Formats: sequence, structure tokens, C-alpha cells
Amino acid sequence: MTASRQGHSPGWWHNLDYLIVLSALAISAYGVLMVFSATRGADPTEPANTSFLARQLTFVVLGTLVMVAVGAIDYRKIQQFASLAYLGLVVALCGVLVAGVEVNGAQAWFSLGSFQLQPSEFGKIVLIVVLGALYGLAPSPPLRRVIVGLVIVGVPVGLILLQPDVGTVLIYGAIIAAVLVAAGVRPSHLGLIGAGLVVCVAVLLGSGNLEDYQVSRLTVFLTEETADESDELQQVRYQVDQAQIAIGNGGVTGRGLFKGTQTRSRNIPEQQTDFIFTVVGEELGLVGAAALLMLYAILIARMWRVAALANEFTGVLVCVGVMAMFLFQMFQSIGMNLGMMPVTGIPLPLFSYGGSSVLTSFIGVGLVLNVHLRRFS
Amino acid sequence: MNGPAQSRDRLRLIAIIGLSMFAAIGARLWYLQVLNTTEYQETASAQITRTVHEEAPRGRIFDRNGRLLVTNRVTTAVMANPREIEAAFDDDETEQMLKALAVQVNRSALSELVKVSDLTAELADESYGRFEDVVLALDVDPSLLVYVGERGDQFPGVYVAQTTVRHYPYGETAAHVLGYVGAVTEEELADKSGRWDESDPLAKIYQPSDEIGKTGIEAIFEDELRGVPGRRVLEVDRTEKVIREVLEERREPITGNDVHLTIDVDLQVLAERELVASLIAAREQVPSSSNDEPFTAPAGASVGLDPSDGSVLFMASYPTYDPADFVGGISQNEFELLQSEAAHSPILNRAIQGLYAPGSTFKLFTALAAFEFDVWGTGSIAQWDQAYDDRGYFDVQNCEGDTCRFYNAGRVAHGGVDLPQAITVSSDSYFYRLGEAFWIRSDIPDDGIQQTARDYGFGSTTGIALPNEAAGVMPDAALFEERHEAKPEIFPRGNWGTGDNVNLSIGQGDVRATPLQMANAYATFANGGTLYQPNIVSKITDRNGDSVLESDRRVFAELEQTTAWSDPLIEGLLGVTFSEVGTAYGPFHGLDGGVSFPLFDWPAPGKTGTAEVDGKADFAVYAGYGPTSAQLIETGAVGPSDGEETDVDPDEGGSELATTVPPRSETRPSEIVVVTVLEEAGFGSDTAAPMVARVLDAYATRSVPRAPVADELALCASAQRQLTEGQTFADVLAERALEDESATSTSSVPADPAETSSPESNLSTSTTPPTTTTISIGDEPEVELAADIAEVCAAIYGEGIP
Repeated sequence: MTASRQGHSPGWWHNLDYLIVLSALAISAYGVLMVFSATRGADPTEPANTSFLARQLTFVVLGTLVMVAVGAIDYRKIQQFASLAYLGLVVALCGVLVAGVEVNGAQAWFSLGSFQLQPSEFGKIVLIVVLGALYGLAPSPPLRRVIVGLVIVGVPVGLILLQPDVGTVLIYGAIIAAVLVAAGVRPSHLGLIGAGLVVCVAVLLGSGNLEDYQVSRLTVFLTEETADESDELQQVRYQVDQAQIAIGNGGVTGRGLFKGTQTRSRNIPEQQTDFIFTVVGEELGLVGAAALLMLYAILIARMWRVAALANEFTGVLVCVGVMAMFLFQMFQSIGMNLGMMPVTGIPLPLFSYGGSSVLTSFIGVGLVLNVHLRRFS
Repeated sequence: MNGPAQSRDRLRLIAIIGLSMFAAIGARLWYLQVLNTTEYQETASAQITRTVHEEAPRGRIFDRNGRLLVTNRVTTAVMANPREIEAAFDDDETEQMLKALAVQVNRSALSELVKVSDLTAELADESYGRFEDVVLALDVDPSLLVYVGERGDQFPGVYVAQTTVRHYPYGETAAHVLGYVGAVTEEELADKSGRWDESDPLAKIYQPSDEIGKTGIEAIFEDELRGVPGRRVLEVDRTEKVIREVLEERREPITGNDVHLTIDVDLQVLAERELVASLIAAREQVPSSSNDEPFTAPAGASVGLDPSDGSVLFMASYPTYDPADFVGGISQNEFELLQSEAAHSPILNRAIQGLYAPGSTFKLFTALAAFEFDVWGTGSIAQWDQAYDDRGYFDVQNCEGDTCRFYNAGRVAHGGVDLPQAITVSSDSYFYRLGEAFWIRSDIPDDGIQQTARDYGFGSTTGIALPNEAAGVMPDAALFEERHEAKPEIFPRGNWGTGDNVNLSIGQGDVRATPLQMANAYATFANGGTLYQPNIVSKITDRNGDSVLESDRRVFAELEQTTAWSDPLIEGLLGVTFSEVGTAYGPFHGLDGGVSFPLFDWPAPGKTGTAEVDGKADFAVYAGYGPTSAQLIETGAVGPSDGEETDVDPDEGGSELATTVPPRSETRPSEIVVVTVLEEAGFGSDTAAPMVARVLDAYATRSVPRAPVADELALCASAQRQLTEGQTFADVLAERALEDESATSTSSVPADPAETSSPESNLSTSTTPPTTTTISIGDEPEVELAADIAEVCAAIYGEGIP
């Protein structure tokens, strides 16, 4: 840090990480195209359905603006509102259980006219900011602070489990795990937390709040088909099989844009959201999938770089949290599409259709840019 | 631990986790998209495409003059898509819907009534493929199209559409020859599974519920008549909703090939009509004693062959059935009735499946055997032209007991007869003697008669292109032995004896032949010894009319048959119809229900036969043909013609016998052989001979009436009801045509005011029907009325009420 640099401010955008911006925009543009392909309608002779395309485009434009806004305000100022945001999150999560609408078995959405808002998505950002503030005080937090953090995470997680939305809970878990590791929590404490988690999962499975099929959804990718499976489980298995058939059908170069037969035949559910990767895999093949992975790799690697370059511990943790969110969501979502991860409804960040998810992802990118911009101040 | 270095380490740990995640995804992608992509592509393609097969129209069947015997017609059908019904309704609702549908169908049905249970059964029929629609009812009023179409909620998955079914313009005519079609069965599917190479685009692969020929020409030429099925490949989504058709995979159905028969439909209709008429007439006969079996005359068959090439001119079998009953499926009860013996198995083609003792018609072949093995002039047998004294019975030599004396039919003594006379009067004793000679004489083969008969086609199938032909039985010592050893309780006698040969000589005993075999044997004699494989199909043409198969006449054997043998036999056979003592003199001279046959212009040799059957009235048989090269001498007395002497001694032969002289200078090939068998109908001379006489007369005088199509029959039937005394069909039909004209003025014949004003032309219009016009029969659709319809009607119902 030199005085000269500190002295005159050449404009904050001079420290902008263009690769992060470009890769984020590329992923979301790519995503808009794939959302269109997944939703344009099966009959090639009929005019294509563009409503999903238009909405997703709106979300992306809106998200870009939000990203710019988030980047513009110093994250340290944002952190001052962490408690308030957290309180708002808890209220919203309680509210959604009372006044929310149920989609695909989870009561996770507020209905706002023709749009739906998913508070648990935005909760990921709230959590990252709160955890960043909590553990950013000093590395190697004492056990008490670790427990406080767990409690802070535990409340929204509990509320989300009531919806129930296992996928989002897993993301929350990934975020806190990454933040705790980055914060330098002692390995023994991490071990304790791990043991506690196992107990929690056991209690959860035994509590009956999760339906049997929700449990079997999580494990279906590990098991062989049996004759006496429930209809729900067969359906899940069918979905997983169809997703893999679609991706395998793509081969190296794909069936061609808008020419995926699996995509066109609606063999795969939720193809614009959770199973969007099958569209890439089938229509654009290994080439298209590799390109998408490359973009994610650039984005995540740059986030890692920002974390490594950050001049302040809170910034490191915020970047790690966002990076963990992207990394885990990408891995879980694509992994589910490929049949190597449990079936949980997790959107591919910046890529899947959905306003809450797109906005949340752009806010996350904005936060990382924010940290990068202010790494000298 | 808390320094930047440790912080870096922790970040590296996260980076390693992230990299391994990318690696895992990369590996899995490689596995799915590179290593196993072929397998996944196959699965993907299989699960999103559905192939719908479209059965091609079957080929048509024509008669020898190009008249349509079997074709396809478009009709309105109620169809259903079971999946759509299933999706919309539960079982109770479906039942209710089918009830409502049955009411509507029956309200508009043009044919038979529909039952709810039938509809339910059709709907549940598993032979339909998953994407195939089920036919619920055929021949419904086209107005149902609108009715059902407007009530999609009430009848989900049900629609009314045009479909193609088999149509028989001549109704029941030639049903046994044509055969019928029906839905392919599991066994037939299995039979046909290896028939076609599935990769061949022209393969005629079957789908369950496809049509297949079951009998007759429809079955034998199935591979020709069946069209190449069309195919549409549809891309569907998860809910089996059709997204689009994969047009590059589309194959249009190709209509099957047409089969052209050698049958002449006019002759066929005539023969069928005469067959029924003679059976009905036979039932009128009263048995000579109350102990005799009644003449029930339930069944019969008649075959007409062209002896010059073995082609079948007609083939009639009674009782018969309507192949149209099989269109859209036939009930199990109806089908069992068609096969039941109580109903005399209408499904049976007696012309090729009925086995009958040929009776005296067989004497021709006994005589031919006598020539071939030259039994004449030795032992008790005189030369063929020397008279033998027929005393009314024949005693087997060196024989003791009741079974040694064989009587003539009716124990009539014919007196001195030579071979031609023996044939003319049908002397049994004359032939008993020949039969005995074959068995007891050591210098000629014991089975000489059988050998000759086999040469003429007895005892083996003729090879006609029709399914399930019976081979008949030509009994000999070997057969007796074999049968006895196999089933001694049924065949207690294992030794062939003199009596068996004696019986065989007059076509009795165990000899059995089909009417077609008898006709073919006579045809072989008539054409001078060429045994043909009877031919019923002349050619097969594809949909463009190009010939794909010409059926050539096929010669089985050229038999040794010199004129020295055949002339006396022809003389005897001609005597049957021409001579006053001939057994068919009456039928050929306007007596006994026969006709005044133009024997001088068209000599028609023939032979009567009467086959005895235990427990039943006699079976009547007649084999006749013509014309021949022989000339008849009008005097009826003996006399040479063309300066040639005959060897017949008038004093020995009886002066009442006519003499025939075959002139060598001019040969006149025979054109037609007719064999008729009437079951339980009495003497061949009384019932079978008149039938053949009437058919040959129409043929010889070229007055075979044009066969009416089914629509014309309906018209005739309605005209017949209108007939009043003194009217002819021409009058009634002309009246109707006029009424029609004045009522609608849509006649195809323009009314010329100048002509109609003249009284003369008024008269002419009333007597001469216009060339073509249309007439409505009640509510029925209009029928094209041909000029000769009045003649056609008259041929069926007679000239009207005098």
C-alpha cells in the first residue's frame, strides 16, 4: 500500500476485476439462451414461447444493475446493516411459512403478482455478510464464537427445513463450512461440528418432518432400482435416468441448438431450472458443457484470487462464502444432472431460470467485486 | 496458525476441493458423452419416436373378363383411441359413454345393431397396438361424424372417420374360391414372422389386428394381395403427445397386387344358381319306397374346366356363405355355425374338399384301363366292339356265397351291349366283368384300373392354387392292408378281393374323388390325354396394371390315349345324351327339367353317376363336356357318315342306339368340362344331368346371362315385388324409370320433346329401356341401371308372371 495510491483516487472502477464481470455476464447470457431452448415449446412448427426468455433477460439485466450497485457501496458499510438484514431474513422465512406459496412441495416463495420471491435465496447473501462480520473480527475464532455462528445459521436453516427445502439447506451448510475453514477454526472444533451435524441429520431423518420420498430422493443416485419402489421414487429415478440419457445423447458436439430430442420431448422436469444442464449437455454436447465449466472455473478462480488478495479478513471470508456458494451450487446442480449427486432442487447460479436465484448470484458477484475494488483501502 | 501463511493454506485447501469438483464433473461428462454416448443416443431415439403403421389397401380380385369380384370400399366407422378414453374416464364412465354411443350408432346404423358388450370387447382388444385406434362400429351414418365431433366432452377419444374394408360387388358369388379376410391371429403372425426381411422397405410386415386372407384366393395369394404397409414415425413427448412427424422416415402404403382369375363370373353365377335350383328340385322327388332315405339334397358342388388348358371356368359349392359377414369381424357363434356339420359346413369348398364316390362316371377310366392293358378278346372278355349279354347281374367266377353276385343298378338287364352301348346305358355288369378280369388274370397288373385312374389324376391333389385341397382315395390292396394294420377295429378286412375290383370298376366301394378331380380327369380325356394342373389364376398385376406374374398352363403328364381308344368311348358318352336309351337322354331333350340341347351343333358327351352311400339317399353325379369332333346322325338309326364304316354291328347293338362318327378331317377341341355332384339327391340322370345340361346349353348357345352385381339383385328383388300379371321385368323397370324421370327430371337420357310428342316413339320408350338410367329403390341410394337389367332380372326370377 503506497501513499500515492492512497492519496489520489483514480476512480474505483480502475480496480475492477473485468474477468469476473465478463465471465458472470457470459454465464448469464449463455443461461438465457439455454432457458429459451428449454422453454420455447416442443413443436418446431409453432411460434416459440418467449415468455421465459423475456423474464430471464429481465432478471439478468436487473441482476447486472444490482451487481453494479452492490459493487459501488463499500461492503464494510453494507455490513453495518448485517443484523438488520439477518432479522429481516428470519422474519421473511417465518412469513413464508405462513403466507408463502408452495411450489414442488416446498413452501418457499412469496407471490408478488406474476413474480415469486424466494427469501431463502437472498438469505445466502445475508448469511455470508453476517458470518463475514462475525468471524472477520479475528482469525481462529474461539469456540464460543463458532457456536454463536452455528446458532446464527441454525435459525434460518431450521426455518428452511420446515418449508422443507433440503437443497438450500445444503448450500447454507457449504457456505458456513467454507467460512469456518477459511476463518481458521481449529480442526478439533471442526470435528466436533461434524459430529454434531451427523447427530442433527439423524434427528432430522427421525423427526418425520421430511417425507420418505424426500429422503430417498437424496439417496436415489446411490441405489440400484428395486421392484417394490414407490411411485415417487420411481419418478425420481426416471428423472435422473432421463437427464443422463439427455446428456449422453449429446455426445461430443451435441444434437444442435433447439434440436435436443430429450429436451423437446419434455422427458425431463424442471428443465429451465434444476435440470438446465441437460439442455447444455444434449444440445451443445461436451463442447458446450466444457465451455460452461470453463466460464465457471474462471469466475470461481478469480473469486479465489480476490479472497487471497483481500487486505482485510472480513473481505476474505465474504469472498470465500460467495465462492463456496457458487462452487457448491455448480457442483451439486451439475452433479445431480450427471447422476452423481442427490436430487435436490438447486439452481445453477447465474444460469438457471429464476429471479431470486439470478439476483442473489449477481449480488454475490457484486460483493466479490466490492472486496476486490477496495482491497487497497 | 493465524498468520497470512496459514490463511493461504486454508484457501488452498478450498481450492483443492474446488478443483476436485471440476475434475469429477469432467470425468463424469467424459463417461456419459464420449464413452457411452452411442448407447444413450439409441435410448433417446427409441423413447421419443413412435412408429404408427398404416395398413395398405389389399389388391383386388378380377374375373377372366376383368370384372371386379373383390375390391375395397370406403365406409364410415366409429373409431376410438383407448388411451384417451382411459385418461378421461374411469370404468363406469366409460361404460356409460359406450351405452350412449351404442344408442347413437344404432339410431344411424346402416347394417346390423351394435351391442354395448361388443363395444367394450373391441375397446379391450389387446391385438391393437398402443398407438392404434380401435374400430368400434362399421357402416354407420356419416352424420355421426358431426354428432360425435360436436360432443368431445361426452365422447372423449371417440371419432368418426372413413375407413377401407373389403367389398364384394357380386355378394356371395364364388365365396369359396375368393375366401375371406380377418384379423391376423397369433399363430398366423408366428407363421409369417420369417416370411419378410424386416429391413426391406417393401416387406409386408404384419401388425396385430392387420387383415390377412383366411381361405381361398385371399389366403393362397396373401403375399401378393397384401399391400406394403405405410409407416409414420412420430416424435412424442413424455405424455405421449405427438410433437411432430419425422417426415424423412415416412413411408406411404403401397396397394397390394391384383389377382386375375380364370373364373368367368357369368358362368359362375349361372352355375351357382343352377346348383341351388337342382338341389331344390331334387328335394321334390319322392322315394320309391317308404324305406328309402329321403332326398334331402342339402349340398352339392359343380366345377367347370377348360380342357384345353386346365383353367377353371367356375367353381360352385353349396351351401355357401357371405364373405362380407367377415368384414369388421364375425362373432364366434356365426363362425361356428359356418363350420358346423348340422348346417352342412357352409365354409367347406366341396369342389376341392368334398370327397365323393364317382359312381358310374368312373366307368370311362375303367374302360381306358381296359384299352391300356388290352384285356379285350381273351377269356370271358369279348372285343370292345362285340356285344356282351348284360343279364342284369354278374357272378364272380369261382366264388361261393351271397356276395358273389353283383347286380346292375335297379337290376335292369340291358341285353347285348358293346363298350359304347355299355357306357350309354350304363351297364354295370359289363364293367364288373372288366373289373374282375384285372384281378383274376395273371397277364395284366392287378391294379391296372388304379394305375390308369391315377394317371388321370385320381388319388392325388390336382395342385390347384387353393388351400386345403383333398387328395381323394384310390384304393388298392396295399391301402387295405395298411389301414387294417393301423386300425383293425375300423377296417376289419385287410385283404383286397375280387369284389373290391368289381366295385371299383363302377366307381363304388372305397374310391373317393373331389368334383375338381373328376372334372380334371374328364378334361384330360376330352383334350386327348394331357393332364393339366388346374389353373385358377391367369395373372397377377401390380397397382400400375403391369403384369408381375403370368400363370402359364402347366402340364403334369401327356398320357397315351389313341383315337382307337377314345373314339368308341366318345361314341358311348355321346349316346348318353343323344340316344333314347342314354341315361341323360331326357335332360338333353327338354325332359326331366333339362333343356332341348343343340346336340347336332354342339355335341355334348357325358356320363351319369349315382353313388350309393350307406344310410343316405344316393349322391347324384354328372360329368359332361363339349363340343367334340364327333358328328351325330340325325336319323337316330345306325348309319355311316362321311363314308366311314363303324364297327358296330346293328343287329347286336340294338337299332335304337344312335351312332356317332368322329370325322378325322376336322378336329373340334372341347371347350368346357362340367362335373356336378349333388348330395342325397338321387340318380345322376334325374338331378345332376339336368343341371349340367342347363349350364352347357347356356354356354353352347352363348346365352349365359350377364351376372348381376349385388345392387342389381336388390333392384330386381324390388321390381319382382311390383310385378303384376302379364308384366315383364322390362315393363316394370321402364315404368319406374319414367316415374323417376318425371319426378326428378335427372335422368341421364335427355328427353327430346320432338320425340316424345310422337305416339310411336312413346311406345318405343316404354318397350326399350334407355341405355343407362338411375333408379332409386325405396330409400336406398341410386343404382346405375344397365340396359340389360331386365334380362338379368328375368334370368333370376323368370320372365315374370304370365
